[in-house]
Amino acid sequence: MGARWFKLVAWILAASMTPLATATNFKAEVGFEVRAFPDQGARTDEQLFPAAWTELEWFTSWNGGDDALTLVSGFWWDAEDDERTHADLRELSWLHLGEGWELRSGVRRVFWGVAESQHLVDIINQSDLVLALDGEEKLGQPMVNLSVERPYGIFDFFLLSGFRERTFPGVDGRVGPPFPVDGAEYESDREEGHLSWALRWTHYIGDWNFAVSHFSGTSREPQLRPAIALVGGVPTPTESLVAHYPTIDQTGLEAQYLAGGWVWKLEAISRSGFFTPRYAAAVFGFEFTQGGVLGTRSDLGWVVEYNWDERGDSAQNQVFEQDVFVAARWVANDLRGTEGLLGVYLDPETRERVWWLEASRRLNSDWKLVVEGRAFAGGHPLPTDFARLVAALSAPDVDNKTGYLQQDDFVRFQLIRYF
Amino acid sequence: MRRFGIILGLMVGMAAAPTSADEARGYEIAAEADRRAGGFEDSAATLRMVLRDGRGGESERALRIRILEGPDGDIDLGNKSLIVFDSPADQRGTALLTYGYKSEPDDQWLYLPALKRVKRIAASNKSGPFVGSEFAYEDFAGQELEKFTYRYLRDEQLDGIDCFVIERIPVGSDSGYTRQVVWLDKEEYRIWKIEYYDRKESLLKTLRVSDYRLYDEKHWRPGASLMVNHQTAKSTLLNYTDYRFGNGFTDADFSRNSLKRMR
Repeated sequence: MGARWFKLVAWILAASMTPLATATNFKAEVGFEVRAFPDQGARTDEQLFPAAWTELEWFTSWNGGDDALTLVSGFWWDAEDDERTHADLRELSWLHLGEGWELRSGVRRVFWGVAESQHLVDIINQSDLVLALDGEEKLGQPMVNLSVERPYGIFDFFLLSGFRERTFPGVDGRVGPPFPVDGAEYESDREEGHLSWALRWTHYIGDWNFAVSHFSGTSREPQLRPAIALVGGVPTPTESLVAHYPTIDQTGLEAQYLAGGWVWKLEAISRSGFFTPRYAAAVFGFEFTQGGVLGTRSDLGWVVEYNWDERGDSAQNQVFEQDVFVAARWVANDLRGTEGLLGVYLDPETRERVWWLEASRRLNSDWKLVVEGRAFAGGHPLPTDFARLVAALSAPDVDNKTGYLQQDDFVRFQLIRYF
Repeated sequence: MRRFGIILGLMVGMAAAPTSADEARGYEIAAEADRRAGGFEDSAATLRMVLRDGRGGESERALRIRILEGPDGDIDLGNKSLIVFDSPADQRGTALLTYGYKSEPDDQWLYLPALKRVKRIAASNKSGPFVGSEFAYEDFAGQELEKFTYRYLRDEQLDGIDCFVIERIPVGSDSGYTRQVVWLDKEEYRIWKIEYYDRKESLLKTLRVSDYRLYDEKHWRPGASLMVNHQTAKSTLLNYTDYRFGNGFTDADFSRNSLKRMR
């Protein structure tokens, strides 16, 4: 099931669903955004990126709610970046409810995890990276998911057919790798047709919540390598990258413990088949929330997490190999749902920093304003000269993993209208 | 939460032996109110909230709630409830699952539809505002009989209705209140008014409950309740409609998987 198929279905559904807009089980949102970059980029001089999107959701159920059909389809348009202009079928799934079990078939989105700074365990869906750098926007994944709920926990079994390639900004787009990503290569001979599977057990005992999962199949995370072309019979790097998707096995653990205003969190994985010998990675920390701070009705939360990767410096794509994340989350508890988060990822060794700002507020019951900011500091911009850039990409500087992001500080304003 | 919302949800049970006649009488009144409020097995209702900030600003919330009554006579298990938001639009589909307990903090899970994320949340911050309203979490949940100690104060007429006035003091330290004064009518033991006193012992909020109706000839439920914050002049009006009993809900309708199914 290729990307083209998805786009076609998403388009047809978006068009045909519009007349249903008055039904109660229909909802939609239309959004407008502008991303502003203070600096010119490595690949493009463009500093203002207007964009718009629409997302439609339709739901119906029958058999007294024992059968349900859900459809979520989205279209995103970007004035500058052709790769960011895209349509996707987020969900088209049938749910059947039995006695203590559910069968969910079709295109769906599934989230796993407890941490805030990195979604390490989450692996069912591919990231729609052009929309969100934090992996919180996901492409729809075709699957059959049997979920069995027992007194000793929920057991989920997944068969995942059809692989979705990660989205990356185009030649004129930002924020992305130094060269545009063009094409995908797979370890499996069946390429994107390779069938993946996963299972997960999740349970809670008192104030403990935990989950154990295993995934076997095509890695959602690719390794990016310079594309090679034969020039006069000589393999020569070109100005594009190829995404390599290996076949991996990943076992995941999630744990969360509640103690008063404290929430302790752990996510850990052990992964094999990802270009290196089996390795482990983890993110752990806490969130502490104070209610009614300084005599106001606001909540103030502190998030502290440590990101660790056994591969250390050799974790090529992984910028979170030894990073501390510290953030303050403020929730006003007002009529307009005003809230904000200001955080920073800090690599104590290289002094690289990534600043993270998110804030939102309703303007009225139908409109919402979202502001996001990202700032990259402590790294050095990569060379602009092609040969030196290729050299830098072939032998990445482990102390400058955010180098290619240094010119890509940005602030994003989103205005969303809900229907 | 033996019965939704502001109503005392209680249970004839074993609490610490009262030490004075007024305490015994206060407990008896609360226990009788609890007994009468129970026995509904399950219920569903639609709620509309109007939040006013006291300066002309206004905001609305629409939500649906389902309640499954805890096993009769169980010494620890309370009610299970599921709340789903229909508005504001950016919160649509957000759902809150609560397992109530009599002697310990409730278990709560929040479902965030944008991320498909089920998040276990701490129920300990129960004095915090519920969705920006003047109702605190603890005004909704944690209304089990065992979560307070009681004292009878006096008999009094309220708007021409003969009432008992009792005081109840939250057990445990995580409540935002030092005490509450509750008006219940003598005929049906329905709550008509609650005064909430903050940690400085000053009057923080007053709740007025109105428009009671009898459903299925045995369940009294209010049509409206108004919470006024005296210290900020903010208020929240709650309207209840579409009460339904005997829905045949089971534990499966209040499972963590069910959170993701709610629409």
